[in-house]
Amino acid sequence: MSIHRYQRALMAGLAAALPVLAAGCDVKQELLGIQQPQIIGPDNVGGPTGAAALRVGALGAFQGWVMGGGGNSSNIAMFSDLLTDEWKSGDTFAQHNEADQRVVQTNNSVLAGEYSGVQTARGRAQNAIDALIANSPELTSQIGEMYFLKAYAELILSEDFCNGVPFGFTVNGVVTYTQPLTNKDGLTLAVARLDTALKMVTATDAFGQNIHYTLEVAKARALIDLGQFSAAAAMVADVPTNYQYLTTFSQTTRDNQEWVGNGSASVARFVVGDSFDIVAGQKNVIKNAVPFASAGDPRVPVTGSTTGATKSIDVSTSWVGQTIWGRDDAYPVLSGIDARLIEGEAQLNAGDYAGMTATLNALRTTSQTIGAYKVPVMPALTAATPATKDVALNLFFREKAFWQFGRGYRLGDFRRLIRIYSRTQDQVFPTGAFFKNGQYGTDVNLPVTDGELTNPNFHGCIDRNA
Amino acid sequence: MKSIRWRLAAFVAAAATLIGGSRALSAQGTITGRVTAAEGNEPLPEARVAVAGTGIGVVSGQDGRYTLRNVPAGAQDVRVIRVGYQERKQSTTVTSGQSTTLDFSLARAIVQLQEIVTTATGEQRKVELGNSVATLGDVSKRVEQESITDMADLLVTKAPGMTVLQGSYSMTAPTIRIRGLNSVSLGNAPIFIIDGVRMQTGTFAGGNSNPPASFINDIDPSTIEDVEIVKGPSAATLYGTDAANGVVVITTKRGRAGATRWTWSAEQGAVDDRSHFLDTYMIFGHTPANPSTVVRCVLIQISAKTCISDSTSHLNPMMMDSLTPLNIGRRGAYNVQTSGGNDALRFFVSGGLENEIGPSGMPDFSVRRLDSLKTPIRDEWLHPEAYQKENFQANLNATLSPTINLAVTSQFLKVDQRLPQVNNNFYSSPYQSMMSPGFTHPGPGYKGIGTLGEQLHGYNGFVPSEINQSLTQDNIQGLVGALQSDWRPFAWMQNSGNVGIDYRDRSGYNLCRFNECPYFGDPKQVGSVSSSTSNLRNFSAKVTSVSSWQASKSSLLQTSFGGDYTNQEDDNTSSFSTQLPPGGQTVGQGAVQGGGNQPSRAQKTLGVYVQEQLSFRDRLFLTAAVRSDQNSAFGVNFQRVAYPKASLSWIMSDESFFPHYNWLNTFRLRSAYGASGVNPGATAGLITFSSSTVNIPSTPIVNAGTDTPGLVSGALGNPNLKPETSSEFEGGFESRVFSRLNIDFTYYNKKTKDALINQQIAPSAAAPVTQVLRNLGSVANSGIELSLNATLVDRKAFGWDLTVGASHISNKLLSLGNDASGLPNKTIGTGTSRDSVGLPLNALFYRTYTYNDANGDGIITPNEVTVNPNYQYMGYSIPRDVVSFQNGFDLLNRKLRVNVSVDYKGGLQVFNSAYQFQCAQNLACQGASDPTTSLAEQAANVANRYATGADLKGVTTPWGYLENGQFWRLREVSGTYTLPAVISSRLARSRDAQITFAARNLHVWTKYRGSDPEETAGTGDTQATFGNAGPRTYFTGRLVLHY
Repeated sequence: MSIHRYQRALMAGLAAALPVLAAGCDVKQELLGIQQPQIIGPDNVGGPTGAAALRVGALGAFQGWVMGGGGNSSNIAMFSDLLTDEWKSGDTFAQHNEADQRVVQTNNSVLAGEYSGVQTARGRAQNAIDALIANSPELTSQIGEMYFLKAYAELILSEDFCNGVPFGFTVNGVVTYTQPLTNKDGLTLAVARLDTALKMVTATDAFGQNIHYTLEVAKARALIDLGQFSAAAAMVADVPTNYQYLTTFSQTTRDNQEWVGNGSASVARFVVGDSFDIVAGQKNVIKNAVPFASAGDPRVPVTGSTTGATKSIDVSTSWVGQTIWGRDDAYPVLSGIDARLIEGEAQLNAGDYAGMTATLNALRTTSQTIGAYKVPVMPALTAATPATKDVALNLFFREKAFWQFGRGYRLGDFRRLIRIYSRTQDQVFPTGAFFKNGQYGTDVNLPVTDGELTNPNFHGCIDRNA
Repeated sequence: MKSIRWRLAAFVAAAATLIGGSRALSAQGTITGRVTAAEGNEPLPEARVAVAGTGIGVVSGQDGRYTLRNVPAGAQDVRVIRVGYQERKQSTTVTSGQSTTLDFSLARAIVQLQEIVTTATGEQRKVELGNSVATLGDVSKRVEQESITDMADLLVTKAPGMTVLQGSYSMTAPTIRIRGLNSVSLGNAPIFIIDGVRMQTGTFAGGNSNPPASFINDIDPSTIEDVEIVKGPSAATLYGTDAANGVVVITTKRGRAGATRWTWSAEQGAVDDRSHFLDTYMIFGHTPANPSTVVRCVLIQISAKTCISDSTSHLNPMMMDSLTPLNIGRRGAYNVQTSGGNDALRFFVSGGLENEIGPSGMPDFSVRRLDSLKTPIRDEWLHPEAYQKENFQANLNATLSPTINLAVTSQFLKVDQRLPQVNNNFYSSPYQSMMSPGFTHPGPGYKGIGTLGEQLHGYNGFVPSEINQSLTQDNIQGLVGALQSDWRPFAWMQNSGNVGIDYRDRSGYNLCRFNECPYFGDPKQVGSVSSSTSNLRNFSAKVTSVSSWQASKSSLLQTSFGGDYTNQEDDNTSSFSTQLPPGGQTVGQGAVQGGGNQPSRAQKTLGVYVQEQLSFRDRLFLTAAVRSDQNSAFGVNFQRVAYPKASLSWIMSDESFFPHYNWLNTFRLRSAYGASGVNPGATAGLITFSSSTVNIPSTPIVNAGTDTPGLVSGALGNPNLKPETSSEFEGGFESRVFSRLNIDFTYYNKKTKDALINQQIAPSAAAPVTQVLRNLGSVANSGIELSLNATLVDRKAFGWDLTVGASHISNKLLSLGNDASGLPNKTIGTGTSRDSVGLPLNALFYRTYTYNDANGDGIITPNEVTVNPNYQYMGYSIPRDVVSFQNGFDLLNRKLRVNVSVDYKGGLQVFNSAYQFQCAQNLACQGASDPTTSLAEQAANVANRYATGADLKGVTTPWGYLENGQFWRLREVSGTYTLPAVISSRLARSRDAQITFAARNLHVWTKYRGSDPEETAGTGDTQATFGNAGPRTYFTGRLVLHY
């Protein structure tokens, strides 16, 4: 074959392939153009309806870290309470066991998910704020609620985690990392954000009023953590005791994690804490622990017992289940009871032990509601009005523990007892023999998990102090 | 308008080609002849006869005859190749318009090798390739003579460089990797191509409840003609984006001209689970203070004298005859195949039915319990591990004209599969067994009664009677078909087209009926059901044109160009409901319902390529090629990627200067360089939002809310996303020595750049996700592969052939890109599996410990263990070394063929997570409660469970359960006896008959303490070892009749 024939052959082959090349003339549209109908893109999120949808999404993210979790996990409230005496780990997961033992590792995958969930929820709240301001600026109560969502995340991260939590941001996909903040600076950040919202939320309708109270209680909680007791009490003075900021559940969306994690014995990863447990078959008194399970207190109704035969998921820990929250019962993020307790702590700090006792008795002797649970009217405290601050502290924080069981307050209270009220960690936290193995550790807060090391400004907690 | 103009031009050009082609046909003739064996002169079917330097070639029919049409007039060389015979080339002169006769007599080759391979441009002689391609060869014979039930059985240990981890349960998903791990964040599995169509290889089911199943197993091995393993980018360049992890090319059987032939086979067999499940132990004792109360003692309490041992017990429910849910499963497979036809139309038709009941079952005590409750026992409870496959295949090959061939391949398949409750699953028998207290009757900490009042017999909390009521089943129907055409307008040009589809429709179903399944929490046994469907469609189209030019007497140029197009689409739905009424089994019957769907999702690739090959004196072959791809998954700022390729193959032993020795028959050097890629995923480059339905409190604020649809931002997107590209150099040689030993050695060095890595985003950035896919890193793989193929004895009465395959890999992460501050990322991950620069992917890191029985009491206590708080690198998580020995013995004048195959994997560590979990959670673990166990076993338990060191404040470590994963396995033993012709013809009137007895996965030698060193629960890059079994052991008998 001559070169000419070969050239002709190549031309022929080229011609045979031309249909493909022809199809390739507008390849992007005709062959590579794709529809991905499952994808919701940026075009779908514009306008007031998009902003409203982002608000709902932000509320879902908030609910996720406040009282979500799912079968294998938990949330910040329950995880932080596990570090205290409220919960015991009835779990096979080392992640929960080490929290109960107060030896939380920085690579704890459950905590990593929770920490990430809170931070992500901050971003989702900011996305909603931006969208609402741009598209529905008249919805000031909704915008204020989104500020609360963001501020509450900053508040809880500062209340429960070590010193050294960064609060960066991401705009249009561009990540900005910031320096880690001390807990004090984190709380101050939250207060400033709440102030912004308080100025904005002036509506007097039921929703607007509810959000306003929410902002006030949240700010007061931060002020208490900052040691500004009288300012905190003043902030909640107008909040009615029956106020609640609820997050609600349904079987088709998300279940209340208090029920998921504790409600049924054979899958319970958490059991209600007690003042004792069983170590090597013997009763072991846990120093500093409140007997939530065995006290019979109507504020913490339970089923099962610390020595019962019904076991949790680890098949060795006796199951005690709380009955405050069922599967889809609403969970109060903040409440008027919290407001009264803020006032009570302010009275305690002011040395007004009689006032504090009166505040506590006022709560006990009137009907209260926690979520949907109606707390029976209780008798007034029988003990005499405390004569010393030490006695007052014991009384107040025991009462506070029963009122706020399972709501993520206890770790902040313990840290305050150390940081502000000058107690030592072994006077506050569970101490001694740990019922599963070894001894309790010395953690007084939660560590920022290793995933944060990607932030070049972060090199670990500034300190692990209370 | 532009499009119309292009199409018109194409039409005109094609028409011109046709006209030109018809003119060219005038100066041509025909070559006919017969191919026979030199010994015995018997006709040889399936010999490939081709005119050298042209695209003209045919396969001889059953009578050995062939006809080559449209051969250019003049002197021509005709080459004949057939497996098992030595290649032969003869010259002849073709006269225009006349027929020339050319017969071939082939001498038998002592070593049988596959000489023709299917490449991206068509069939090609293996000696022309500069890269290594492994071929399985006569798959049909393997399937008939060995115990091969699925694709994993077919592939395992057959090709050096390919690692196959078989599924743990009946027909479950295999894990296949070729030449190490290339990708940090994407999958590392090879792609499969069947008859030119991109095959479905996805997995389903799996997770924490069931073993994963795979579409790969839907293909019936008995319908396969050959499997080729294209190992790396140097060979896979022309397969384009997605081929960087290798390509498995499957060709199904074709009909041959000649009398109609029938093959009928029937197989029956047994299936066994030979795993070693975890033991449990109990030390009954008492405390010094209370001698009358029986308590559980553990070793460290005995050491501390706080507990005094009275007696011990040991229990392993999974392995005790009276308690185990395991029994001997059974298997049956029936297949009928026929093929034949004439020169104009040839056919292959196959139909098969396969049934397998796995070993998972229900123990007698559970059957008795259900009987006592008067609960009718469903078959699915007795046999939760079951598989049924029906398969029908029809392939037609037609010669429409002297220049046009058409082939249609079509395969319809139907699979029904039930999967047992296993893996990291609280409601599974293996889990409930390993969490046993170590005794059966009520005792310390164990009531022996379950939540439904059932006797537990030593199981932890649930027993198989309820566990097996959880039904998981999958049903698949599929159609794999292709239309292939060849058009040869000139003797020196061949154009091929191929269009096909792999369509699979899957429905999955999980059911716990009302009042069934384990009672794991209120509300009690209210029932639940979930249903999912997936519809997957792979469309493939390809055109190729190959032209040859005999530039001189010694030089042949071959130019190939073409293009291909792949469109992978899928959509799916899922729904669930809970609170079923009695008898309720559908989602619609549940009180609380939910569901979702994913509309059609697509990923498309369009590639074009050109290749030039120079053949010099039929002994030196130089190839250069380039392929360019566009892909719908690339970022919007990235349009096209180009993959180059070059290779050299040189049969040096044919050169005059090469020293000639009697013992050295052939020597071929080869080397190749090429690149290929992996696409980032269908939607990886897009900015997305996700729906989020939230229950929002009603206003005024009340205790219940309203489910409200919402949105949250999802992926950040990456407009610059491009494929990660792997380039590879490989070099090696092939040699035949002493006329009976073939040596094939390959060294490869592969580097993946622009590696797609999920770059971590610190949570504090409050981004919607914690990672974004970016082209950041690079990964290196290098290794050696050796294949020895020898006929050690070749006598009429006795023959012994041996194939040895061996490979060794080195894998290293070279770079992870830079972090947000511009500094190099050093590692991803902080746990026990990390991707760290300088180390292999998924490198293992653990805290080590030391121990010393200081007080000499034979018990290791926490203060006698010291844990190093720093993590240390421990090694590879994938096998570095794989060796196999495949022996074939021909006995009784070659009437009896015996195959024995043994293989080895080593160089890896496997984390025995089930054992670690057991010891962390269950005091009945051997290290805690077996007084006879070793100090090392005790130390592993102590370091895993207790705060250690002198101050008892040291961290824990599970390092004691990181184990050497190496093993030797007796993989296959089979014997096939060919009945004397007189018997086969009298008994079954068949041409011949074969009886095969075969066994698979017979025995394993290992120090690994888990259920099996090949146990796995997934198809990821590292083994998942929680609550699994080893690969099933098969004993099968098969009768094959040929008519």
